[in-house]
This record gives sequence, structure tokens and C-alpha cells, in this order.
Amino acid sequence: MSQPEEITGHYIDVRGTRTFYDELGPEDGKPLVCIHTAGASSLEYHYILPLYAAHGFHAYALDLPGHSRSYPVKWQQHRKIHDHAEFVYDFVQTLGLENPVITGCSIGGDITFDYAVNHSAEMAAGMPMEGLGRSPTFPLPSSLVHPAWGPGWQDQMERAAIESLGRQTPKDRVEELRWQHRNSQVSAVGDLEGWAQHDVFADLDKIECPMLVVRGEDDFWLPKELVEESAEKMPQGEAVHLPNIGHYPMFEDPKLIADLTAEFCKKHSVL
Amino acid sequence: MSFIADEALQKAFVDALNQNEAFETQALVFDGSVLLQVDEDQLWLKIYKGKVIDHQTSAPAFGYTFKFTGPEAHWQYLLSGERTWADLTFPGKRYFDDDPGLTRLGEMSVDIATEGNLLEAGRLTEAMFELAYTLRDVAAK
Repeated sequence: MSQPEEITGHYIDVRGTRTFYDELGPEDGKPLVCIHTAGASSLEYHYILPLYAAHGFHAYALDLPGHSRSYPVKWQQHRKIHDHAEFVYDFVQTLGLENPVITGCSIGGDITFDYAVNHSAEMAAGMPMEGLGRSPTFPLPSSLVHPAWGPGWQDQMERAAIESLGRQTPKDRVEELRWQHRNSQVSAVGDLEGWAQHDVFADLDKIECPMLVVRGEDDFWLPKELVEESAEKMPQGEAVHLPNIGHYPMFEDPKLIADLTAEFCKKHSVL
Repeated sequence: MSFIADEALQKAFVDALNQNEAFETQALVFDGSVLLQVDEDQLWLKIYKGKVIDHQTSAPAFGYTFKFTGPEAHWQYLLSGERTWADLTFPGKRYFDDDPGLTRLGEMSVDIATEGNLLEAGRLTEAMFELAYTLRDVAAK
């Protein structure tokens, strides 16, 4: 007989916005906040949350405003990475999490950089995956929010997601990721507007905490040169390039990423 | 001459596309034509209700609905499997082997350009991914 998962979902009011998050881990575990990719949700972390918990993290994976079960702030999608990052910071404050590790993927990676630029003194460490200090690698998609202007947007966004998975990703996982991108089409436009204009590169040298920049080598969205420049600009920055991994490392190989996160945090006495 | 000028490949490609159920579904409400241009070579496909009902090696006088165009070297990235259709057709410079100084960062160049009626091209997104990978699979044989 099937048993309920140990992951528990909650709603909480953040800045007047009803916000959903999944949670798992020991009560005294190191807080770890997980941020999803453009147009997706906390579902991207459901495989890895138990593995984070086993390493001693107390992990929180939220739905960003306007995604899945979280309402948008004042019924408008965020259109800047900084707005997302400040919302995540408010989420952390609302929950009373002290000195958390922040991780995120794609726009979640960009958000991790922005969060660290502004709040690294209150972070234990950061682990941006498939994100950059600056990411002008995609056209500004503003008009696509209007279906009559861009009738292929849903398919384009879903293809942009699944085609950047690692080449060895099983077909059922490809289908799963596609479904994960099917409920936030409007917010995805704002997310990618944010990605296209995101640039905190000049301030990366202000980041005070250890930062591990993770790049899957199969991810065509992320030039390795930009990963290197982001890592090199940070006083405690490192980069790791993972073979056979694409744009969704925590979804594609959760054990690898959970182990990598724990190893990095232990190396810096965070865990 | 490029690979697309090969008549045997053209026929095999059209036959394979007409056996592709996903392509048929996605193109079922389309009555138009798609031009594939590889260097100077062309393959025009007349598509009606999910089937390719005619093809020829240049666009007719009444033109095409939209086209995909690029140098053969870029199409070969598709055929070899080195790059995905999304990577080849979504704008944005993401490879810097030729520009280590990142001077072209932010450039919205594209390997295989989409031209013509972009609304129809957008509406046919999924069908065109099926078309592209059918071409890749046929060329691999």
C-alpha cells in the first residue's frame, strides 16, 4: 500500500501574498532554501528534498509568486530577477530562517546571485545552478505574454526547457519536466524578461559567503565562459562543470547534487 | 550542393514526415508551406491537414508561409545531434570559442533563422520540432 511522502506542503503569507512551499528535514537542520526555474515550481525539487534532509539540511522549496500554488504579488508577475530575490529574502525573514544556504536553478541561479549580492552577510553559503552573474543569452520575450502576438509561446517555453536537459535523461523524466512547466506560462515571460536583463556582475566581488556555481555541460543556455567569470569575480567563488548534466541538475541527478551541496557546505563549515 | 539537394533524401524525408503521427497532429489545422533553405539549396514543403502533399526544390511563385534558413554548417549541427533545434533556432549568442573576450555578449544572433509569417511559425512550433528531428533521423540513415 502506498504511503504518504514525508515532504509537507504549507501556505504562508509573505508580503500579503499567499505563498506555497514544500519542507523536509530535521528540526535542527541547516536551513536550505531552494528556488525553481522559469515557469516551473517547487516540484522540481521533490526528488532531492529527501536527500538534502538525509544530509542534515532542513530544506524549503517555495513556489515563486505567480507560479503553481503561489499567487502573484498584487496580481502582476515579477519581471525582474531582483524582485524575485527580494521576495525570497522576505520569505526567509517570514519563516525566521537564520543564516540559510540559498540554492536555485536557472532563474533560480540568477536569483541566488542577486540575493547574495544584497544579503550575503545573512547567508551561510550559496549554490547557484545554471545561473549567472549576468545572463543576456536569450531575447527579451515581453510580447509573448499576449497569446495573439506569440501563439507558440507555450510550446516554445516547454521545448526551451526539455531540450536543455542532459542528453541521457530518461523519456519519462522529460515528460515530467514538461508538465512541470505547464502551469505558469504568464509568469514565465516575466521570469525570462528577468533572465535577459539580469546583471549583478559588477557587484559579485561584494559577496561575503562561499558560492559554488554549478553548470551542466549539456546545458546550451549557459556559456561556460560566463560561469567562469561569475565564479572568478566572487572572493569565495568556485565553479564546477558536470558532464552528462543539463539545465536541471537537481532534477536530473538529485543524489549528485545533494552530495555536492553537503560536501561544499562541510568544506566551509556550514554543515 | 548541400545535403538538402539530395533527391533520395528529400523523398525519404517527406515519406517519414507523413508517417510521423505527432507531426500530423500538430499540423492538422495548417494549410500552408514551409521552405527549408540550406546555403542556396531549397526544399519547399506544401503541408495540408498534417500531411506533406507536395514538395519541390524551390519556392513557387506564390511563395511560402515561413522558412528556416542558415548555412549548411549550422544545419549539420542538427544532423549530427551536436545541437538541439531549440538551441539552433532560439536567438542569443551562447558560444564564445570565436570570441573569448565576450565582445559579442548580448548579441541576439541565431544559427537557423525563421523568416516569413512568424505567427504561423510560432503556432506550428511543435510541428516544426517534429519536422526537424525527422529530418535529422532520415539524414542519419
